[in-house]
Amino acid sequence: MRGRLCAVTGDQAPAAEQLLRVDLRRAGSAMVVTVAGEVDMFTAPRLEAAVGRSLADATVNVTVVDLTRVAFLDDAGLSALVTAHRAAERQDEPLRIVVDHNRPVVRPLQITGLERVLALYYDVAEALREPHSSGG
Amino acid sequence: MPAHRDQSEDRAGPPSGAGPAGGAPPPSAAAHIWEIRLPAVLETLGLVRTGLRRRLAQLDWPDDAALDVLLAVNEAVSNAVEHAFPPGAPDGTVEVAARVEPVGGRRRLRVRIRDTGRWLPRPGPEEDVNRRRGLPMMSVLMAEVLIHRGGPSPLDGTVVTLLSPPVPGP
Repeated sequence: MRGRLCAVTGDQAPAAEQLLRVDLRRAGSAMVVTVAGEVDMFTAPRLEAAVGRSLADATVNVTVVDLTRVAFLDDAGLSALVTAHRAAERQDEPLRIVVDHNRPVVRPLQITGLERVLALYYDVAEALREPHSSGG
Repeated sequence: MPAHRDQSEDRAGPPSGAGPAGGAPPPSAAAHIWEIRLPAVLETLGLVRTGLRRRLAQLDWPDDAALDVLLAVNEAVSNAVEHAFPPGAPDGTVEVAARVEPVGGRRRLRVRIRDTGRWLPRPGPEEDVNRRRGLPMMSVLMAEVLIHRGGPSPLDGTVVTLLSPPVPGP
């Protein structure tokens, strides 16, 4: 990987941790991954790692990813979601993505057709409520 | 790493191509309204979005249309950062220049994204089948997408030109 921004712009460029905040919270047998900020090629690995951690936890039956406070989502972020969705499918564990009407998230999902692939919800409560039916 | 002395030029001032003093109002609609040059590294993506987002707000660009511009420009800059430079090449830069153009009583944005390297072929489909949405996204979001790949030298650069759909005047 090439060098990071050197001194002049290093002052202006926030770290990935500042651009994208990711929290994991248990809700019974579910894990809620709350994401806030901007998801791009720089920060998407943080999203992917957090969701991966939840999926790898054998005590978690449902992973809910809350994207309602995401202000930007690019192709790298979409790829992180698709990767997680496939991993969840393989272990027959639902990955529920909460988007509400948050346009910065809904718009890229629509134009790529991924809104028909991923399991999308309006709010976390709804995503947690839905029973886990085998086979998704 | 080589110095990038001129890393950030966020020019929001009056258009440099204005006509003679005292003449007609400057052709601001065709002037560069925003330019930035940054190293082709991942951190650049957020800086480009922040600057362009602020400028579009100043221009009263409609929110929905502004998001589409940000998404398209972000993908072009991502491509430049990810693919422009062969391994071992000196660090390159990405330039983004935007201007507003009048179109039949409305206005549209022309954004040029230029890097100092050449886009490399993407990895094979087996390894990268999940990372091929950048170009299709730009095509859906913009009225027109032009890609000019440079010559054989890695320094010839790639230029992507994005033309937004027209939006109502200010």
